[in-house]
Amino acid sequence: MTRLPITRKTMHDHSSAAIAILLTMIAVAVLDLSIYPSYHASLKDFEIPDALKGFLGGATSIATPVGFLTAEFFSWVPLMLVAFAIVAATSTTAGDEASGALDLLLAQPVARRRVLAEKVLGIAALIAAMCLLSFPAFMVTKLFVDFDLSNVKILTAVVNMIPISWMFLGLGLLAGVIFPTRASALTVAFGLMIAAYVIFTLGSAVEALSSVRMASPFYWADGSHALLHGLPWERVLVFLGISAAELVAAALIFERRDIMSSHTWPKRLTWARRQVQATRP
Amino acid sequence: MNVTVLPWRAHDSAVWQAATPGAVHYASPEPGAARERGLMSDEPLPVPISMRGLTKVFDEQRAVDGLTLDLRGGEVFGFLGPNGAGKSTTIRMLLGFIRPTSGSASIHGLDCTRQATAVHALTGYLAGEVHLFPHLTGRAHTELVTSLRGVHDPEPAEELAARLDLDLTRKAGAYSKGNRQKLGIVMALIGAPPVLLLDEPTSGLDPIIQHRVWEILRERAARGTTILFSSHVLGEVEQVCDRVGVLRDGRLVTVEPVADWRAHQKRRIEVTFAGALPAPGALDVMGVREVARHGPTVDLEIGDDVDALIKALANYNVLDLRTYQPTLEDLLLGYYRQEAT
Ligand SMILES: Nc1ncnc2c1ncn2[C@@H]1O[C@H](COP(=O)(O)OP(=O)(O)O)[C@@H](O)[C@H]1O
Ligand SMILES: [Mg+2]
Repeated sequence: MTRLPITRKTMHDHSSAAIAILLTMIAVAVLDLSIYPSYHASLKDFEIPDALKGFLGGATSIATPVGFLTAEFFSWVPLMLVAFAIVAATSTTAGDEASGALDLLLAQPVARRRVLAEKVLGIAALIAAMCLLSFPAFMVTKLFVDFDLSNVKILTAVVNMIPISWMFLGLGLLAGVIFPTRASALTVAFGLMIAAYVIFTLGSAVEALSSVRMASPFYWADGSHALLHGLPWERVLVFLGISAAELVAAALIFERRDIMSSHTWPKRLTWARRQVQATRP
Repeated sequence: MNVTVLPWRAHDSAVWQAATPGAVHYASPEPGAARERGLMSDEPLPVPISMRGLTKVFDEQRAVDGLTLDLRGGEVFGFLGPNGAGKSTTIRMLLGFIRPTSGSASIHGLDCTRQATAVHALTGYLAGEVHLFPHLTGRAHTELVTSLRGVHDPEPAEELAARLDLDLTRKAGAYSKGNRQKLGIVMALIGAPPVLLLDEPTSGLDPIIQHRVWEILRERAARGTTILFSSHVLGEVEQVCDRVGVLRDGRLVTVEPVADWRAHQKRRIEVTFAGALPAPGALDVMGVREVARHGPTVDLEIGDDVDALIKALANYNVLDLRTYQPTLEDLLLGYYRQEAT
């Protein structure tokens, strides 16, 4: 038999989105490194406004390789990966459920938690693959341009994007098993993602928010930290721990929950609408 | 003493195997052979499908209400009821998709909620509305099910598809409703599971294919497969099923063998007269009852005894005579009437 058929199917389902994101990452990496030398000269004396310091992370200046790469790549590419993780994660239960095709998998002699785990494995693998496959773009471009940052450091920062994406994968998974429709799950998970990102970027500009910043996962996944100091193992372990906890919680909820057939969903919504109407005068 | 363990009774190993990554090697039983071996066993066979006070309440609505029912090995059981009667909810509880509010159900002795994974190894399921993965071909679907069931031989799926005139090379997104239904049926039959739960299997199929599906189901039943077949079409249930259970508002109104059922089934006859109409009650001979009259036409309900009616009609000038198979609605009306009196 084919090993992990559900994982393979999940990877296939999301492959076009993953490839699109990977190509974007590669293009941005090549572009960033190629334009750096000319930027470097003109930006030497440029003081980045305080409000945008957040995009530099721990780097002192955008005119350094670390500052430039943090601002132009590692400050926003994780957001793209996290968004991908959330979209894919909510599709594992809420998406297939809404389309009714979840029945088809769950009627097979495979435990629900295993269906979930196989799907998660597929998405997690795609995220890791996107990150790792973007690395050669840096390595190759560096052969042609003068960019003073070691491959190991860049690889570290690239790998550092994986744990936070997995954590949001877990969040999307939880939202998907808790909320009745995919739309509501997506709204909640994206809301949290945007809130976390806004806190992270604003926190650097507004003094009063600088400690609130630490509440944002993006703060703990800061790319400049990885570029300057190597992989922050403790942070990575915390991210992985949270991801695992989310996965377990989602599996437990999913195991106990009723699986609705697609045609009963609109009825449920009608019911919900009636409840709302009943509260009106 | 010779105690044989039927393959589908070795549920512990089925659970274990299903939970082992990459190895869902549930040995699909050959029902005929297993039954023969089962005959040598002293223990009674576990009931293929058993429900005890099965109840599901949705938002204060009792979708299924205290269902108690045992299905026998190798029987085709017609689960008949109008839309919203609770057929799909019952079947989904049997699969463990929905948790009963109270009561319980088991398949071959395995609890449908707590041992759902093991139950699935014994059960082929066709959803009331078949949903597929639109970007996968029909064959990719059968291969997915084949591999998840640990079935090694893809041939039967191909044969079934051919019998149902289904093209497996096309993408499911391009399938018509009928083709989706056919693929759903093929997937439910993969691995020859000893229990089939089919939610309105023939809906959306043309009559020729419907007959082929009935034929396939009868073949499976002859080999020992127990089939729960839901439908809201009276005629088809009479055609394929051994027993019928009528479900209304979540309750079983009656459970009867189809043979008995036919015997006391009332048929409808509309007689249009050319001349004088018979006096009211004049046609109420043995087993015939007048239901209504409009213009020159009299509606009659008759049982088995067509002959008595023909003889009674011979005294009149009959212009036209039409007979109808009663519909499910007629049947349910009958039960409402019975309850009212
Ligand atoms: N998820 C649900 N939420 C609320 N009500 C439901 C849900 N699923 C089914 N029902 C209700 O339960 C009753 C039985 O539905 P169902 O089992 O689908 O009937 P059938 O399959 O016989 O047409 C219907 O009245 C339906 O509206
Ligand atoms: Mg139904």
